[in-house]
Amino acid sequence: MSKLEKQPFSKADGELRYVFLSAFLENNIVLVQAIGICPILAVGITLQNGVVLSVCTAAVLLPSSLFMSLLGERLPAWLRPPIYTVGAALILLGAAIIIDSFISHELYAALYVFLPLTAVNTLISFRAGGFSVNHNPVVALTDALASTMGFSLVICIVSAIREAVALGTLWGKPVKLDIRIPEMALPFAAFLLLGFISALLQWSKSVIVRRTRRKELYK
Amino acid sequence: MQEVNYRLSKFTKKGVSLITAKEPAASRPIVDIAPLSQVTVPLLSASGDSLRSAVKINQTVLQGDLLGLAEPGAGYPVYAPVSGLLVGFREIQHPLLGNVSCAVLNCTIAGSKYNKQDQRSVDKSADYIKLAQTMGIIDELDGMPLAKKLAQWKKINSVCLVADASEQEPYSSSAWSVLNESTAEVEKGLELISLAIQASSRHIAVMQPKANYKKLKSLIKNTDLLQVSGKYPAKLVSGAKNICRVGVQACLALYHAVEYNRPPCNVVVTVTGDAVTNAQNVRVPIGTLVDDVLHFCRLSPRPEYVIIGDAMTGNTINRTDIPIVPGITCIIALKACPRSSVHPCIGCGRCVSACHAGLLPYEIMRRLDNMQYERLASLLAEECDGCGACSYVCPSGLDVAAKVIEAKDAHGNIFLKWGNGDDI
Amino acid sequence: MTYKLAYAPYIRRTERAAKLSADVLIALVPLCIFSAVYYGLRPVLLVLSGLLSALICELFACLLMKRVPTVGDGSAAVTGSIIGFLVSPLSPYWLPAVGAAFAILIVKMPMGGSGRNLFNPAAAGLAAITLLFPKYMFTYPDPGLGIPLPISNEALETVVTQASPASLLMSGGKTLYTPAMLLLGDFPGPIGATAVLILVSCGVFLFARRTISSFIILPYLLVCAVIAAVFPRVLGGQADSIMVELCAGYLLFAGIFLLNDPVTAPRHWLGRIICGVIAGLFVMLMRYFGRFEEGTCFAVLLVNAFSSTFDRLGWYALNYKRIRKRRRNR
Repeated sequence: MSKLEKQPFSKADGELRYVFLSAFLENNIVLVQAIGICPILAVGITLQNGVVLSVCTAAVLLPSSLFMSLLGERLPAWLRPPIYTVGAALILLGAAIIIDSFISHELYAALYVFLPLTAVNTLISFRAGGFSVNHNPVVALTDALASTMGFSLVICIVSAIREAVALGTLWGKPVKLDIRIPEMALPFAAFLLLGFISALLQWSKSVIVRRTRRKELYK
Repeated sequence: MQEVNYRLSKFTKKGVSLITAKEPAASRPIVDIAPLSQVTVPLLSASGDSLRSAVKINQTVLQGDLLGLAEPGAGYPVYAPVSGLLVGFREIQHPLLGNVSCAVLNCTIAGSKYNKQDQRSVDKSADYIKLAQTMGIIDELDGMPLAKKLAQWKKINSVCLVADASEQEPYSSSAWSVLNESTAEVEKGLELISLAIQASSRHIAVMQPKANYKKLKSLIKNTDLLQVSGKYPAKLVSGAKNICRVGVQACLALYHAVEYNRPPCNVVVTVTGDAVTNAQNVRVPIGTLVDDVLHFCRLSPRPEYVIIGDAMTGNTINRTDIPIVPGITCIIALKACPRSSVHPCIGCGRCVSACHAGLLPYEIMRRLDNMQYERLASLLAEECDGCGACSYVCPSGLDVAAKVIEAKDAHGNIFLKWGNGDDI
Repeated sequence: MTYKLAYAPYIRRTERAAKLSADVLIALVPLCIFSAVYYGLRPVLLVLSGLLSALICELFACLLMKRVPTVGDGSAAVTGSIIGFLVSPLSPYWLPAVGAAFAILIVKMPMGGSGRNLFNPAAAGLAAITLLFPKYMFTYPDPGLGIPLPISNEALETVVTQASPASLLMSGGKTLYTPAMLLLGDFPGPIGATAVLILVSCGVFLFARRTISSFIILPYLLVCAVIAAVFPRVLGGQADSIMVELCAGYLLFAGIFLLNDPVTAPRHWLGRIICGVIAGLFVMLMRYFGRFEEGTCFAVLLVNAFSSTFDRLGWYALNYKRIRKRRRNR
């Protein structure tokens, strides 16, 4: 793999904003790059699940990104995936124990295999294993944070809608909603929702581009 | 004559069955156009270089006089198709030749440099290729100079020479009319070409009803007559031999050049279409304007489209003041284009089964529309020969063929810019 | 004097896109009549409900997207009526309407409307109502009684229901239906999918009109038959197994009407053959291991996702040498 030049630290300010916005909205990790869809489909049924998964992702992605950014280039390419996967698994082990014994056993059961699966989520391997290796720690951390936030945003929206429509509750509390479609809990509904949210994102992007072009034209 | 194992392409799965609209022009005799007041002769060598004028303004020329001079030994000269007075020069944007300077002749003088009486004895050893070059004979099948084609064919062994009067496209019947009217002369012309390039066999290909075929068969003595069948575009194929196609009018022109030492002055065009009252084959001097021919055949109501060439592969023109040159064999005037409405591609796959080159026309069109140029590279658009079958069958009324040809033409420049398309 | 310009060719075949849809609609009419003979007026109303819902939704979506309405090309009518034909005669009138609305508003129009949809809208609409309302989809009335079904939804409770061949296949055991009964359509099933002989003749009609191609349907049926013969689910001979598997559910109907939808089917003949084989495989897998007694619509959706891949695969396989040569020359 060719080594890209490290970004100079002084230019970090404008660069960081760009990196953040790009990973958070413009090239949203789920909606545009289609990474990390699996947990959203399977367990993004209640808002609670969504939030817990977001927190876990943050807990895994931030340290591994930092680590890979600092040490990644010194490690041989074949050694990188095992290292960040093992690291992520260790972090998740702690998280799982905390959730199971201190927060709620039901929540832990509901998340079932998808909590440990976060360790080998494509999200981690793409951001920590791909992007971070070639960038300096600040940029890598910003990117990891923005990616996590983008992921959390999508999973929270999707799981909130699904919870409200399928179960009639939001964060466990009943909501007044006339439509009740239990099948929203099935994966295909999440696919449809993701598709429509993605289309909405692309549409708003095209509107923004058109607006700015028009502004440039009439300047 | 040597026996050849000869067959036509039998890919009946590919291609389309076209309607025929040759009647009534095909069954009518060839008519000479009424004397014209003016002709506009393009001063362009068939090889594409422009020529020097041999005549000054306000000088008179006789039919058959040299009008455009070529570089000695290289180009193809142009002769005056009629006797007249050179009144000036005009720049014309010609759909086939591009921007070309034309000599305008006022046809005021009668008479010709030649008459049928001074017949020469045919010299069997003469260099017919050289003769075709000095006479500037152009093959009407593809607009290429005959001499150039013959020189190429001479280098090939075992050539199957075919005078192609098959005219698979729906409207044109000029080749058939010429063949029908002067069968013996065309046959002799073909024989001369065959002598010049030492072809191993010679044939005449027609696509005609059985009655016409039988009649022609009885007239032709020394040449093998082929009946073309199959779907459009049918291709002539033969085992190990190379097929060389030559136009009927070019055969006739070569015969006249050898026999009477006369340069080609006339072309026969089919004038037809639903906006023409008197559809027929007309013999016109080179340089006659399309407008004159259309009015000679009585243009009934005002047409919307005028097409040069045949309905499948021709070009529409927006101005009719352009001269007729060899290579134009058909002029169609239509009241309306047959396409009613345009839908998006519904993906029926009709174009795939119509394409005789085995391409994916819809895919090429989609890639071009989506500007995915790197994907176009492996779709082999450059193998398209523009037969138009894909547009013909398209139920959505899309201009598929035009898109494929655009991709083919653009091949050289866009792909250099966008990489060589190594990903499939 | 100037004339208009246009691209060649200047003659066109008279066939129009709407003709393809019209052919399918014509082929559906005898199925509708057949169903009316067995069940009375109710199935006709169900089909009309799906058709109308599809047309209204398409019109609405076109207005919403500020486009010229594309109702005229007939694809929405085909989608709606196919959904109407594949529900049970006992289902409420809103069921095909909901399916058609889902098909048009969620599957077809957001992807760009007629000619641009990736998935077959009818199959997607069916999949949606199968997932949402399986209990309506898979309760079929007994056709042998010869009594017309009640028109109103409330009176449906009294109708005698019977297990369809597809559900018998799922539970295993001996089949109740003789080949003659299967061919004549005297068995419970969706409105339009039971009349096997009429379906076959509809297929022949569409094939003669060149609306469907044999490259998809023959490999599809062949693969289904081979799987049915090798792994029979009923007691009795292999011939019995093939017969029941092919006639049960809407396997044949899907092969004729859903897989041959021009927009979503592959265009190249080799791609079509690959598509047919994979579709047959998926259909039988859905039946053998699926949750529902009939999962053909899911199989169709799965195949649709790969249809352009099949196309390219087929074409590159045939033209591999030409492409290589071209590359080397460049």
